Amino acid sequence: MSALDTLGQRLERLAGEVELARPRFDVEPLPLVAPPTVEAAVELVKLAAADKLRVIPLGLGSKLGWCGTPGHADFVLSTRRLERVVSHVPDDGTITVEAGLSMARLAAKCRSGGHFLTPDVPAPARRTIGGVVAAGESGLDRLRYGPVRHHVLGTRTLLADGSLARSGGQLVKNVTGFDLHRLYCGSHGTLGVIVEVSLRLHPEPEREAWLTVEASSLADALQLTCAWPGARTIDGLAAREEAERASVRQRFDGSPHPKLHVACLPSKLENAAKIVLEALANARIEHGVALQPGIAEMLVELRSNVGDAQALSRLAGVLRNALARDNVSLAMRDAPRGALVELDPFGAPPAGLELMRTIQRNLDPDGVFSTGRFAGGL
Amino acid sequence: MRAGVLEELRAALGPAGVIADPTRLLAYECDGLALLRQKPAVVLLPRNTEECARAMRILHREKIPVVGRGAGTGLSGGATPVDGGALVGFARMRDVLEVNVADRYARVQAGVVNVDLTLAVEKHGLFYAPDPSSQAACTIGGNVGENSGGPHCFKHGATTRHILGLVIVRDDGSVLDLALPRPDPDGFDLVGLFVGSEGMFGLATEVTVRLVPTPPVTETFLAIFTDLDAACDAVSDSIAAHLEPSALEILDRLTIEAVEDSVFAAGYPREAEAVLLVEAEGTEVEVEATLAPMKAIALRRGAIDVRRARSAAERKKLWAGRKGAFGAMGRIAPDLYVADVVVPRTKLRELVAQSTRIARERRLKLANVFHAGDGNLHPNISYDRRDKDEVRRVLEASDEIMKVVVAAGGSLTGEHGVGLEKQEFMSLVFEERDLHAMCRVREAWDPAHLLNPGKLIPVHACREMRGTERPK
Ligand SMILES: Cc1cc2nc3c(=O)[nH]c(=O)nc-3n(C[C@H](O)[C@H](O)[C@H](O)COP(=O)(O)OP(=O)(O)OC[C@H]3O[C@@H](n4cnc5c(N)ncnc54)[C@H](O)[C@@H]3O)c2cc1C
Repeated sequence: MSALDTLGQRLERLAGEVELARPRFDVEPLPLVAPPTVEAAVELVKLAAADKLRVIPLGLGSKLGWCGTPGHADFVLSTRRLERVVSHVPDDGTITVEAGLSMARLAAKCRSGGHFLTPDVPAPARRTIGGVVAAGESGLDRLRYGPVRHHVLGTRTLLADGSLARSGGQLVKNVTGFDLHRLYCGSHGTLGVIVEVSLRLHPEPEREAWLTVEASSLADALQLTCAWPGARTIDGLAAREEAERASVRQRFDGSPHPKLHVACLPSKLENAAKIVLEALANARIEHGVALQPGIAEMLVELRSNVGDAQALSRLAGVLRNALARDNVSLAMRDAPRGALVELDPFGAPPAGLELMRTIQRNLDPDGVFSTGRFAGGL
Repeated sequence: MRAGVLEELRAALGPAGVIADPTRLLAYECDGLALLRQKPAVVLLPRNTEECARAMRILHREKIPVVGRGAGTGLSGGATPVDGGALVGFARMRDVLEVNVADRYARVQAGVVNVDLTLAVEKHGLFYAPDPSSQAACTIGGNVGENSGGPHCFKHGATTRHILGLVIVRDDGSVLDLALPRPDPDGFDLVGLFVGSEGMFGLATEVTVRLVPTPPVTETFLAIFTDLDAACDAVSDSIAAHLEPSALEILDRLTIEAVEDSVFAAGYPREAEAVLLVEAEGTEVEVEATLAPMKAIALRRGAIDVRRARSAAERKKLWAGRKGAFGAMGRIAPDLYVADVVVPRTKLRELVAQSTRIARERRLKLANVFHAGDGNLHPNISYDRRDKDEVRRVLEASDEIMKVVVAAGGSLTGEHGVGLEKQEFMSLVFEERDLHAMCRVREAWDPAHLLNPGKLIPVHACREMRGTERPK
């Protein structure tokens, strides 16, 4: 306990306040620091490097449940106080901001210049741009704008040796140097802390319309949505109570239940959805579904009757096997740690895992950010 | 090369797959950056991934450096051979392996020529969006190597947005199969990282590309200006007005003259100081909603005329002129130095004018033809490579242009890559620590520095890397 205290004091000196936070809902709390400046963040990482500590980078924590349980970790570093707008050039359609800026505030900033921020994520006040980029989170608008990694023009990333390395830039077109920012996008903070992001902006649409069709059964709805790529099936949401748009955008955000995230090629989705939903019906697991055929993505919230952790793990394993033939991926989100003992929440080990490990080791020889939470235990 | 290695390579690739005859090697001594030349020790032409892997295993064992080559149209020396090294060419890998219409992707061998891909999928109402002006010659593998752009990348994005998967032969001949397309990468985005790595991370033998539905309506117009500045301003205005046509290209007077004197004659008005080529695509309503305000901006900025292409044939001609522009410049002087820099789109006028001044001060002929919508300038300098002093002035002008552009917030290259040409300028835009991170990632792919060594990373940064990071 006294060792932790000293660490706490040292963290406090560098970053001000230290709180306790859980890096996942079901693991022991760790000290969490939110440095007020990038310089303070650098000092914190240098401290970790010097003492061979392990660090979990974090924005506002909305996507921690996507990852596995960390191996050993010493503290959590949140970017949430890094909220500066570094440069905003509406007439060039670009913006550069610190990673801790919330999606809501960033979107407002973009709107002030007549631009629209993609991805259009649920609960934008509870997400930071850095977290969205680091998790590669898509929004409802992905069908039109593509994944978020396509809009990241460059990053400034705090690496394990305490250096701040830039990749890319602030221009809409640029091939100067290797695109390391593509590596950081979607890496869940296992290579470094993204502290600054440059984005390409899109004109705010002049008009927007939502069309809602009520189907009599989920099966009908599935068929209907799959025939129309722009559509989205939502099942089991209290749509009436909220503004229509908010509910359509909703993706069980903040729900404590375990979820299955299914992604594949568009033509495979209808069948994949059938396989998953049939299995859930057979097991009498109560669930909610949000399905978007245009981007071939389905999110299923498992509400009750899931059974214990082993049962959940078995269910995911069986489904993964059944879906593998069609190259459909099935990730588990917000699953209890017991379910992740033998199962990687992201799926089968990715092709190229050895190379990924080497990249991680080369950037971070002491494993400051290698907490094993990402795919393949990266 | 050790005795017996050539025979071993012949056994691996068949006799037609190995070129070692000195006169035939001459054809491979440079890419589109003809100022730099180096004869390779051997050229290898595999027919498939397996052959490529076999050859790479031998080369790796022998510690022979390797340079990949598509069509050799690159303009930054990316495919310039290395002394004593092998060149692996993809000229015999031209098969379209799969076209998946439902899921809109194709899988092709790396040597497929860019335009052939679109021709192969056209009948399905699809196309491959990145369209470098060299598309009739350049390969998809080369496009991946450089993360190439093209006029229509203004709307559709450069190559990287269109690559869904790759099969990569690694430095040691092992095969990394990332061909299966999925919405998001599994683990780190190795495919995204590989695109634009200029042949330094591995050789792509197969590429899975995204296909885009052919738009229902495409309209093209030409705005004619008596002033290059005004054309630049029209583009800056349209970006500021959030207009999103699919292409926004500028050609200046010298380029227009060269094109009109060539087989690519497109009907560009010779009296113009600049033309702005605008294309919009989508539904009829979308196209109108883009082109009407575009036209108004052009006129407000002083365009003397706005001509809409009346037929598909006319449109094709306008584009053939644009895409043939570099080639047509051959009429002005024997050699052409194609610069490639990017500027913030708020500063087009200023930086185009600066490059013109820089060339004029050095008594050089500069023509502009560029992807204006992306801020991607191509100040092209005509010269004669036999005139040593002119060559010196060309390089000096190019250096100066890069410095001015970077100082204004721009970048060294928008689509042609760093290669050998801009290597030493990397320190203008990146600090040592940025380059170190790049070096470390490169080490993961190619610890022995056998893949396209001596490119992209400035020499001093690499040396430092070796000193500090690589214990013997
Ligand atoms: C007239 C003209 C017009 C041009 N217009 C444009 C334009 O509009 N936009 C644009 O972006 N570029 C343009 N270019 C530049 C050039 O055409 C592009 O860079 C093109 O992508 C190069 O393709 P290539 O097949 O010729 O590749 P190469 O020149 O042979 O190689 C390019 C680089 O990629 C590497 N490479 C090649 N194949 C592979 C592979 N299979 N795996 C890994 N690495 C590989 C090489 O080592 C080299 O570093 C133009 C060039 C010319 C001559």
